[in-house]
Amino acid sequence: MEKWYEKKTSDSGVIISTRIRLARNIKNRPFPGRLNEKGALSILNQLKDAIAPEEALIFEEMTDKSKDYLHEMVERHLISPEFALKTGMRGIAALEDESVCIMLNEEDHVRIQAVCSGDDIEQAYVAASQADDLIENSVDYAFDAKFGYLTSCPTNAGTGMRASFMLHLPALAQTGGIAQIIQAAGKFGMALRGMHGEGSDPLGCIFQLSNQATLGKSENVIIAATKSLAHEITEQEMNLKEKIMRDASIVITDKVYRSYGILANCRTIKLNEAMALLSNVRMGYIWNILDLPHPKANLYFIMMEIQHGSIIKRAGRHVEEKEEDCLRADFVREMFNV
Amino acid sequence: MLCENCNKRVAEVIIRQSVSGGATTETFLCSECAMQQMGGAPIEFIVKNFMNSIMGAGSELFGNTPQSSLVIENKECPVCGLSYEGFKATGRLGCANCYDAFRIQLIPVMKSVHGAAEHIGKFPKRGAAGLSRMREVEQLKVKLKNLIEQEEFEEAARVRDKIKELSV
Repeated sequence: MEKWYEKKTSDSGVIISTRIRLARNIKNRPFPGRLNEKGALSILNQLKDAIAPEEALIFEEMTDKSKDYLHEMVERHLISPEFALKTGMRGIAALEDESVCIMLNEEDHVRIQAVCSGDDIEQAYVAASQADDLIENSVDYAFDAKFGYLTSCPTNAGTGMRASFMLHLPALAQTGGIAQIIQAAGKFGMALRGMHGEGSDPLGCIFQLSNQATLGKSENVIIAATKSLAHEITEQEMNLKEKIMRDASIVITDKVYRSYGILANCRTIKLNEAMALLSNVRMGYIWNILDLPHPKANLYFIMMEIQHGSIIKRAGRHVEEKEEDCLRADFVREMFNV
Repeated sequence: MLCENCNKRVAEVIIRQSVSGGATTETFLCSECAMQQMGGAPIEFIVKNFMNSIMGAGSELFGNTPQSSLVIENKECPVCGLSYEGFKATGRLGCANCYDAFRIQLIPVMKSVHGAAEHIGKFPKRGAAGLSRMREVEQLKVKLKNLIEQEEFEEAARVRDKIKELSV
């Protein structure tokens, strides 16, 4: 089945994808941070039963998975880096196309995540809310009339919702304009961070915009505000693109074609370099300055597949750094061999 | 004694919190600043008899501490045992009941993080029938007002009856 990130919409503009995350806890049970193993197991079983009526959501226990396995799931945005680092009884329930993934016993008992390729945050909310209603059919959530859905960290209470946009911003990132955007986003109660969220590097000029406040505003208002800022940033990016193309068209075009050439011919390549070159090629298509055949898969898909965990998964064994760089080059070359 | 926050009004309230190592800090506040710090808790809860503090022994007129005081102890959550200090150290609460146990301290935290301390939006259908009814009544009251303004009295009467029915 086609994964959400294999859809063409993830390559069609500045907005790669949108995501909704809902945090929930079960009433009268300690939050995961204060659960013992027996308690965590009982929560896991209760949630497994609650999700069971929806057969499309496939449960997978995560308790004893290897570091490499979990790392690869983080790279595919199926689980959070915190969930990968945690120990103890925990699991996920996900749709086969990975557009909905529910983490069980993360920082909260339930963390629902729904992702949509391209600019469709409303659909992501519908999918997340449906998963929420499914669990609520048999589970009483911890809820307070004043504080809303109660979460382990009070910064998530209220709606328990984060709405995120994944944005590809090569013009803003390469001209340094991103610093001002990050500052401006903060003033609107939003955060703009690297592609894997908090504390991560903006590899491949990919950033994640999400709301900070979760209490005191309805889901619709939060979604509308985040969307409006994402569109504003998109406009700034495209305005900057016009300026860059007026001032340095030949330099940018040269950079895009060189990037394509390296990706099509490399024999060993580090992750940072590959991400930067793929970002240039993606920019080349979106800015209509690259007139060469599209690689065999979406650029965002290739970006995901060349991460450390994905390479190890394909190899079926642990590989050293030098070999990893060669395997990455092999994969990229194959994608660009069109 | 003047309020330690505004340095203008007379201190009427003591906020006492235990800190690590068993020590206790005391903050002397006027009722207005105390209200602000406690996120608008009911006034009768925090304002003590002003006259008592003026007229009683050890009144502030003699430079002593306020007689009547509210003491906020830094208690533990009775359900999971987490202390407020424990929460401050990790930023994580232990259970849903912590929100009740530390409600007074959490209100200003919520206001500073979210810019609000009152939930608006989705709520669970299970176990929140009262809240659901309350929200419906609020919406119907707005509808009733609009209908009266538009002089649609027949429909307004129906909405009024529905409000009565839900408010029983």
